[in-house]
Amino acid sequence: LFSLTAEGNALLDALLRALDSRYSEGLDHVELRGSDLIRTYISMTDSGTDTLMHRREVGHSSRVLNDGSWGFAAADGLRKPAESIAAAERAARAFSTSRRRSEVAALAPVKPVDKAIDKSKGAPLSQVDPHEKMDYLADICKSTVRKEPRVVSCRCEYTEVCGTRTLATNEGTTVRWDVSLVYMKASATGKSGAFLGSGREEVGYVGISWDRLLRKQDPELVAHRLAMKIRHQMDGVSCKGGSFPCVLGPKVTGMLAHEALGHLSEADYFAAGAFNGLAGRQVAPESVTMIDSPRIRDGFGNIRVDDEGVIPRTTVLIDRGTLSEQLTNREWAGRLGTKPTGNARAESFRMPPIIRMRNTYFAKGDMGLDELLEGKKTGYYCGDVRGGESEANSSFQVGIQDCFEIRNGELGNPVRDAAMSGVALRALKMIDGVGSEFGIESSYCGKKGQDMETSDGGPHLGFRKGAILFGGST
Amino acid sequence: MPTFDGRPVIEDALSTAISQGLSAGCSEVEAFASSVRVKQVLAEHGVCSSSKASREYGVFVRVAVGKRVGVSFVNSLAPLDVRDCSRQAARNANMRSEDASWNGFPAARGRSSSVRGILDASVENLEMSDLVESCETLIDASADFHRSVTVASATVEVRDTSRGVRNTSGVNVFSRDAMLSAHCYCVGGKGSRVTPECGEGGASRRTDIDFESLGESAAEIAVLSSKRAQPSAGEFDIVFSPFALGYADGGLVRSILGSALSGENVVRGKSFFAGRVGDRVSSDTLTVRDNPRAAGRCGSRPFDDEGVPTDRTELIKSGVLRGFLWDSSSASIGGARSTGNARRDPWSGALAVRPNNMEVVPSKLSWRELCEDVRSGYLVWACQGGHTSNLETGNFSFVANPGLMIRNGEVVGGVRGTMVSGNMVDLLGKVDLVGGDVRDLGDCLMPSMRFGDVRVYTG
Repeated sequence: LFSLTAEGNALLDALLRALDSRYSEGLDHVELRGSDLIRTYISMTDSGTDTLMHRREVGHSSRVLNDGSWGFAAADGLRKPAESIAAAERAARAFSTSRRRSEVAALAPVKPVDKAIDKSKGAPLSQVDPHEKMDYLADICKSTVRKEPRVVSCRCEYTEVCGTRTLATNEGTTVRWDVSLVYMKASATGKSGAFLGSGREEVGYVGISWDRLLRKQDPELVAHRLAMKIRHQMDGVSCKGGSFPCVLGPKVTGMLAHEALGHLSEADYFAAGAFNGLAGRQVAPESVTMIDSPRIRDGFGNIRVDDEGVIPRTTVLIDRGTLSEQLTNREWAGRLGTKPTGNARAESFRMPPIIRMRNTYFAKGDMGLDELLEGKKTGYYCGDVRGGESEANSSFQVGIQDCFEIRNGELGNPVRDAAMSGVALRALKMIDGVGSEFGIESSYCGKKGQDMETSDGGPHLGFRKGAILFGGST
Repeated sequence: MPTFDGRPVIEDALSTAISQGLSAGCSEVEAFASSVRVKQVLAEHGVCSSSKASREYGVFVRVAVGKRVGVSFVNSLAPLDVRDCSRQAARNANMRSEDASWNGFPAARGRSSSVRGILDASVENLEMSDLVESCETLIDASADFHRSVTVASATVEVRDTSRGVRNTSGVNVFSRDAMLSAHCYCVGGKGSRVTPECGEGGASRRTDIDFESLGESAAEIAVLSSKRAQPSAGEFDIVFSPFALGYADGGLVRSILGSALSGENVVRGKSFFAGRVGDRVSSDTLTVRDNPRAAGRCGSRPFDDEGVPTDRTELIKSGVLRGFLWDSSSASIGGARSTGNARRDPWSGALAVRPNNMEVVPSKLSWRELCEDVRSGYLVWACQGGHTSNLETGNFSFVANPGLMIRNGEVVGGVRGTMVSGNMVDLLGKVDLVGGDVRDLGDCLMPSMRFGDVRVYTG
C-alpha cells in the first residue's frame, strides 16, 4: 500500500549527493527539488460515493542557470537526480546560439537557509480514517438537499495532500517542508421547471488538523451556505446590464485584489502591463492599501520559505493609494535591484518556480456595511464569486454567484447569474468607502499552466457609478 | 534523441496491475498506463527565457469489488510500485459503499482501429534547439509586423504520448501520438495605454505550423487594438474568433456547448439540452460533431480513457440536436451506449465526459469576410471571464478583451470596458455565418462564427 518515504531527510540526501556530482560544476546556479506526496481525493454525491482515490507521486527536478539562460528538467522517482541536472543543462544550452535569448545577469543574492518546515499540530489529516471523511462529505450533500428541496444534484469534493517536499541549491540552501493541505469544494444544481440554478462553496487550509477543520467547516453550516446560494439563484431576479454603484463583499474584494491588481504587480507581468510607469503615483484614494502577505490567519497561500529558498516578506502593493512594490522572485529582484519578496512558487516538482501571489488583500477601513450602502439608491451588492480573470490592460472580469439589489441604501432581491467587470486603473479611483469587516476566500490561481494555492480578501468596498460594469443576465 | 516507443514497459505495467488487482480479491480490474514526454520553450518580453524537458510515467488502476469501486495512481511503471497501486485501489474499493448503478467495465468491441496521421516521426524527433528556432521565428514575425508590438509571452511545445488501457472484460489497446503546439500573446502600446494580450495559437500532428503567420496574426490584432474606438451599447452583429469560441475553458462554444452536450450532465440534471434530442436548437447554419477519427488532428484518438473505441458522433446537424457524448458509466444510467468520450482527470482520477475533437463544420470564409457586410458591430478576439459562465443555465457575461469595433465592414479599433451578455440557448438561434478559418486547438476544431443581435453593455 502507499506509504511515504520514511525519512524526509532521505529525499534531501539524494538531492545533496547529486549536487556534489560533476554535472553541477561550471553552472551559474543549480537548484534541485524533490517531492514525495500522497494526494487523497474523495467525491461524494447526494446518491453516494463517487470516487475514492489515492495518488502517490515521487519525483524530482533540476533548474539550472547556464551562461544566462534557464534550463529545467523533471523526472519521476529519485534515482537519478544527477542526470536531471545534465538534462536541464542541455535544455539551457539550446539557447546558446539564439539571437533572441534572455540573459539573466545575476540572481538577487540571498543568505542560504537550512530550514525544516513542520506541518500542523494535532493529528495529521492522512491518519484520519477515510470513512470519517466520506461521512463528513455525505452529511454536507444530504443536508444541502434537505435544506433546499429544489436541489437535483449535489457533489462534495475533498482533496488532501500530505508528504514531504525538499529543496537544495548549490549555494548551500536546504529546505524540507512537511506538507499538509486540504481543499474542499461543494457544488449543487437546483431545478424548477426548465430553470436551472447553480452554486458552490470552496475552502482551503494549509497545516490544519482534522478536528479544527470540522470546527471551522461544520457540515450544517457549509450546507446552509450552499443551499442559500441555490435559493438565491432560483428565486433571483435577472441582472440589469450597465454601470451601477455597488458594494463588494470581502470575497469579491479579494478577487478584485487578486485579479485586477495582484497579477499586474507580479514583476514578470508588470513590465508589459498597465501599471508600468505608475510606481510611486497615486492610483487610488488614500484610504486604500493593498498587501500580499506570506502568512495570515487561515491563509491558503501561507508559506514560510518560498520555492527558491527565500524567506518571504510582507509586500505592500498599494500604500495609502500610492502604487508601491512589485512581487518578485530572485531573477526579477536582481533585474530591479530590489530585495526579493519571496513569491517564487511551483505547482509541483514538474514545474519551475514562477512569481505567484500568496495571500492578497485590501487592508480594512472603518466603515460599517450600512454606511457603505447608504446613499446608493439603485445598485448591486456582490457577495461571492464564480471565478475571475485579469488582463494586461488592467481590465478585470468577475463572475458573481451571490448578488443582491441595492434599493434606497438597503439590500433587496437576490440576483441570479451576475457578472461584473471594470478597468482597474479607473475603478480604483472611484472607491467611495472601505469597510471594517474583514474576510478571505481560498482558491487555486492559474498562471502559465500552473495552479497554486492562494487566499484573497479584504473588507467591504464601496464604488461609485462608473467604476463597475454589470453584464445583464436573462 | 531516439524515439521512445514505451510499449513493452506500458504493457508490463498493465499486466502487473491486472494480476495484482485480481490477487487482491477484486472482481474486476482496469489499468490505464501512460508515458508522456514534453519539451517546451518559453519566451517572455520578446526573448526566449527558459526551456523545459520532462518525462512523466503513470498508471491509474480502477478496480471493482462487487459493486464497490476504488481508484489509485502512481507516477511509476516499476512492478513494485504498480503492485502497491493495485492494492491501494482494492483497499479503496473495500472502503466504499456499493454503487447501485455500477454496470462493470466496458467490454471489448472488437479491434480498435488506428487513427491516421497522429504520430509523425518528424514531430517526435524535434530537438529543443528546433523549438528555440521556431520560437524565434514567431517573435521575429510579431516584432517585424509593427514596432509598437511586444511579444508578452510565447510558447512552443512538443509532446509525445504512449498510452495503453487493459481491463478484465477484454479491453486491451495501445496507441502513440505526438503533437506540436505554439501560442503567442502580443501587446501594443505601453503603460496605461497598453492593449490586452492578443493571442494566437494552434496545434498540429505535423511540423506544418506556420510560426511566421501565427506571430503576424497576433501582432496584427495588437496593432488594431492599439487604435482606440468608442464602444456603444445595444444589440449588434458580433464576429467571434476561433480563439474566443474554442480556446480552453474560456472558449464560449467549447465550454458551454461542450457541457450541455455531455450525457453525464444530462443524467445529472445539469444540461439545458436534456430531453431535447430531435428539437431545433440552433439556426440551420450550425453543424457540430465530435470527430476523433479525423486524420492528423490533435484531438483525434483511437480510444478513450476506458479503452472504448472512439467514433464520429453527430451532435447538432443543421441546427437539430442529434445526440450526446457518453462514457460507459453515464451511458448505462442514461440508457445509451458509450461514444468513447471518457476522460480521466489527472489529479482526481475521476472519469468525466469530454469532447475528444469537437468540430464545428466550417464554410470557406475568413473572419475578415465575416466582418465584410457588418455595418456596425464587434469582433471578439477573446472572451475575458468566459470561464465564469453558468454552464448549467447557459448564461454568460464576459468582457470582449481583445474586443474590436467593426464599422462598414472594417475593423476600426479596439474597445475597452465592453461586456457581451446572453444565454447560449438564445445565442445558438442567432448563428448567422460560420467561417472557414479553422484552428486546431487541441480538443476542438473551431472556425470563426458570426452571430446577430447580441447584447453589448458599455460603462
